[in-house]
Amino acid sequence: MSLDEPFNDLALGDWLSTAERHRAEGYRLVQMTGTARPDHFEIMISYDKDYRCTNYRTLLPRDRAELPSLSGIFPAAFTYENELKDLFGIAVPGLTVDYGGNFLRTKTKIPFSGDVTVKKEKVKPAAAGASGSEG
Amino acid sequence: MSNTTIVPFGPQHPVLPEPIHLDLELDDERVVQALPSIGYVHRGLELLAERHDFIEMANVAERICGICSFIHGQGYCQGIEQLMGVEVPPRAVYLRTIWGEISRIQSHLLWLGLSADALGYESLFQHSWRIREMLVDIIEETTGGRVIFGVCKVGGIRKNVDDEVLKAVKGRMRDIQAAFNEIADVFREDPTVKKRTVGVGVLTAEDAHILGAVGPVLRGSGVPQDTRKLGYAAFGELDWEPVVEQEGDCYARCIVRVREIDQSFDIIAQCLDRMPAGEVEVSVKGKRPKGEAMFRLEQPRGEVCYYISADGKKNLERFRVRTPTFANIAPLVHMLKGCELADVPVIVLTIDPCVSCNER
Repeated sequence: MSLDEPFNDLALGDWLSTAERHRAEGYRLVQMTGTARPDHFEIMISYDKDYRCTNYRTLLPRDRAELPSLSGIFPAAFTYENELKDLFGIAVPGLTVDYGGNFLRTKTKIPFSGDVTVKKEKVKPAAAGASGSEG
Repeated sequence: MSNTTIVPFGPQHPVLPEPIHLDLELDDERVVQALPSIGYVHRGLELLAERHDFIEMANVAERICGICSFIHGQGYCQGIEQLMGVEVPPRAVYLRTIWGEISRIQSHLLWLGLSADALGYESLFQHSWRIREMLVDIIEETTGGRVIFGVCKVGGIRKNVDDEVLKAVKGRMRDIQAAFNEIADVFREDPTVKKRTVGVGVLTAEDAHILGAVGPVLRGSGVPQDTRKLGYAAFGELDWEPVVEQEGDCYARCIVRVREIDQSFDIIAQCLDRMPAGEVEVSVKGKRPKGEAMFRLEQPRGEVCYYISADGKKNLERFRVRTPTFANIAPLVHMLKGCELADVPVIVLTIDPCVSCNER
């Protein structure tokens, strides 16, 4: 489930070789994401085999926020890596499909970097009959 | 000089209820490459968790999507409960399981209706949504909500459901299942449905696995992976097996959903037969989550992952949702490569794209 699937620390230098090993052993890439900390970014990745997740965490210093791309090993990594680029501002050299920061067309650039301040906007009155999407 | 043409597909398109864009590179009528782009309505809900009380965030989590709303709320609450070491009463666990499976049925029926419409079957679309409406009525009668249930909370559920009401629900579920079986055969056997879907958008089991496909997309390619097998909620105590089809085409993905509807009716009946008595919530007053956890659930569209990190304060350090549609983008790009332009809408539909989930 979760608590017995802890995040293991992984040196940045082992990032690619760990992915290659998991690919060779038949794991599936489940997810990649980041967390902004004051002086670094944490990058979390999860691989799954037989319903069991193996999770890793690697640290990127803020002044050298660069993560080697896994998209050559796990093709699906390109979506997660473009998301890391757009939300956290992390450079991902070697991306097979690089959107150049335009995968997520967010109004605020790199909103999850930890440097964003919340600004309240004036709410415009909704047009008559306007409705939102359900799902 | 290249002879290919770029045709934009979306963000507004008749088969897309929500905005997603594909740049289709075409050689005559054949797709050479598809390049997706998303983020037109990104809401930054994950960031809200860092600024709002973790109890209130259950309401926000439920609003990630209007179709699988309950399961988002359930996933968030289960993650927080796990971090706090809270054990939810069995009756609440079973009621959560029932509402989750009703959500699965209504989501699949919504998809079947949309796909029938895309195939030109307007009456089949209407019948699918007519039956879906009966389920939405049950949701309203048991929770008070129709789109946002608002019933799941950290520590259990807000509203108990009377045994008499559950008995009536069981009878009505049988009627709804019978009504569904009348239209299910059309999806299974109709020559037009088969002509548009059989052999179209094929994804092999190996590709599905390596591209990280989830849900009916993965199981339609012959991989028997269903996150409910982790045994969360009441699933570990119930008798069921993942629905799998082998062909990996659009028809297989459609049939997986048709069969999963039948299976969900069965799971609901098992839950109603075994419904425990007792309380439906425990107090979490004064408790706060601390630590980190990754929690996985099976939504109608596939596996969803919640990563929660908390340091014992009232707001979370990080809340991350990896939605099934996001995981199915890479398989979609692969399926579109080499297909005919006319098949693009059907292939896109068979991943059941939920942009609202994607743009959390």
